[in-house]
Amino acid sequence: MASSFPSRTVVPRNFKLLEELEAAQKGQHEGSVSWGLEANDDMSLSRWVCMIIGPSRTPYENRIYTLKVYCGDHYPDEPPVFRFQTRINLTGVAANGSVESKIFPGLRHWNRDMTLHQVLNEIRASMSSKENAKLSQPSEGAVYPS
Amino acid sequence: MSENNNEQMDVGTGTTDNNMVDDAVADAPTASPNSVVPVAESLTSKLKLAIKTPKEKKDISIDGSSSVKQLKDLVANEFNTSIEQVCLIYSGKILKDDEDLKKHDIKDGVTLHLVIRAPKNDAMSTNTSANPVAPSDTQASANNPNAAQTNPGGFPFGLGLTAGMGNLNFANTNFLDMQQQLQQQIMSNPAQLRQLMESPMVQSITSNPDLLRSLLLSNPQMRDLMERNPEISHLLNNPDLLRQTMEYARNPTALQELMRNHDRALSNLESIPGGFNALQRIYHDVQEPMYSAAQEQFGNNPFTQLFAGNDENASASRTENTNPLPNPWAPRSTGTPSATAPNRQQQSTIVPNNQQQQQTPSAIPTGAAGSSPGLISPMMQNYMSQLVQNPRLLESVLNAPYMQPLMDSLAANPDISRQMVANNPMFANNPELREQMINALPAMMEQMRNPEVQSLMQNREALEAITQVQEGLQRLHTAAPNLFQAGGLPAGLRFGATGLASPIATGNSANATSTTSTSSTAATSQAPSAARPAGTTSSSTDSSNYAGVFAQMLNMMSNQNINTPPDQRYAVQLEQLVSMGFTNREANLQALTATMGDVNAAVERLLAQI
Repeated sequence: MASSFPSRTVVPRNFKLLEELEAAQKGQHEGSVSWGLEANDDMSLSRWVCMIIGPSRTPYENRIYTLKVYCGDHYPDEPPVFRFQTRINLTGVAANGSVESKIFPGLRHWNRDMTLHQVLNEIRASMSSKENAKLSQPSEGAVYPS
Repeated sequence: MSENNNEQMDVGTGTTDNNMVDDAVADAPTASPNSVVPVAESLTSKLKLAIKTPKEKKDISIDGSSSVKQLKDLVANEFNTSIEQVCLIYSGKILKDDEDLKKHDIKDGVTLHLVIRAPKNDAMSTNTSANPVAPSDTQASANNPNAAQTNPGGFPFGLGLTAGMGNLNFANTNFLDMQQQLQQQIMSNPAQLRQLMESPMVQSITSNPDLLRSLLLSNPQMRDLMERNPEISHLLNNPDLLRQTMEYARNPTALQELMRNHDRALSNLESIPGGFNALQRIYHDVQEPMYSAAQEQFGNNPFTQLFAGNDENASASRTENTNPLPNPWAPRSTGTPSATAPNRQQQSTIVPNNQQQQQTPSAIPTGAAGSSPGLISPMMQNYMSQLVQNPRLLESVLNAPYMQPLMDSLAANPDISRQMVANNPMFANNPELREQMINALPAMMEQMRNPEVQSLMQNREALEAITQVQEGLQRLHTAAPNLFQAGGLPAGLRFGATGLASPIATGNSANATSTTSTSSTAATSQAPSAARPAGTTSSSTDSSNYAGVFAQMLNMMSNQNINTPPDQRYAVQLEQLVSMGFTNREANLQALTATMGDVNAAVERLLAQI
């Protein structure tokens, strides 16, 4: 029956976000990133908080990075906005902690089928890249002024 | 507030609970917190939480009203670490000691991430600081003060000691000494073994199946075992399986859990009718050869004693198995000899049937056919009935953590599954059926991996629908045996038999069986009419003459008005879907038609098609 379908279904924003929220709680993904709603009663599902555990054998090893993510009303047509809370020295992260969308392909080529999880994984993967290997890191636990 | 959140979650994943969805339908576009679902009891009862580290996963049950501190206590206990080292993350947040689980909306079945912070003492006791030569050591010592520094801040960092090998004294160039030291350290400290297994080097070995295999092969004992038992060598040649085995070897708790799940599944199996016999069969076909193979190497099989007294039984059950199990849905026909003959004939008609299924271009009907190749045979019917009676059993089987990798590995290695079928005594004296099974296997495996099919298998309603279809076929068969005689089932029926994912086909079968549907909503009364045109289209794809006959039959049987266009019939439901944010009207309509106007099912269907 699928073959005769006129066109692909467009998943409504809330359904997609709920799916992502559930995926986070079920935890069926690789265990080094985590994401969830900033406040559990956020019915607009727009403010998210995420964690990235720095990959081993990198300057980010053993550190836990907190990010805030904003999913606007037009998500997932428009990409989410990522911003680091924990101070980090990483290519693609601006001085105030916001993640520059042009650096990360997942954000640059964002499409409806992508998830927060994918972007988080991409950010985490970039921590292992060569260009970031030599960057000196701020002291652990330091946060950006909000 | 958390209650509302719960409910939204459920909508997102398409629960089958009608109340919830009805509420959600109204609320969906804004996800407003209007509806209240009493979940309080779930918060006060025991929660089962999965605790996950990057390497392993354990289940913990805890009272829903507990504090984070209590949870951490449990976790520390379970992971053999101290509570100070435990850092729990849930939904992107670090759980603090003074909070309670309710605050974070931690529900039954969710997963929490665990980071085990490096213990201060342990870090000191290793030789790292004494050997600044090794690069990993310098890194470790660089990290240690950091970790110590941030401890009071409540942000415990550190994922254990510096990955694995750093703990070993690298400055020692005498490898014999090093090895001894290593062994001693490992023997005295199981945690260190775990750490070692998790070290990048060992990881890279275990993730390289070729290397792993050559390692195994280099063990003469192993080689001997493999030479004598081709089945085992087969196992060892499967990289996925190997890796998984290593994973379990590396992670004792996962192994324990696997065993526990296994035990539970076995006891579940035992409790269903005929289950014990099936178990015995499994034992004889699988376990015994394995054990006897291993026996020569590792000593006696303690389990043979268990079955020594049961020999008679066992052999009896073995002979029984070559016959089809009794069919619970044919109370009228099984007694009479005349009915068994067509039954057999029915079996033989599967041959073209299967081939057709494999050729069907549409993914869903074949996907639905995951369980269908043998569905028509009474034996499979029996299995189906057992499954339907025990949806939980099926669910537990499908949800077992090792099921997915198993499926994957089976699909990746058609040889294995083929061999499984080839060696299955069930097909021993029916080469035709076996051949068929083998042909259908790749497609079947593919289907089994299809999440839609899997979710369907867990859906009790859907399973019941299948059995109903089954029943309908039986009845139709006894009522009109001529229909079946000229080879090949009518196309409509074929769809009906396979037809889980296409509810249209279920509509067909509802007609065919003239089952009175239980629910009296307008949607269901219109169902047959929806079924008719669809039935004709599906039959038009089939060259069989009987398609036309069947369509006619359907036509005669459906005394509903078939002229109402679906967009009028489902106007209300369409509106609901649009208000939920599904903007593609055509797709909505199609989903509604397919689900007979069930908004809930339509949403599931729409989401599944993405």
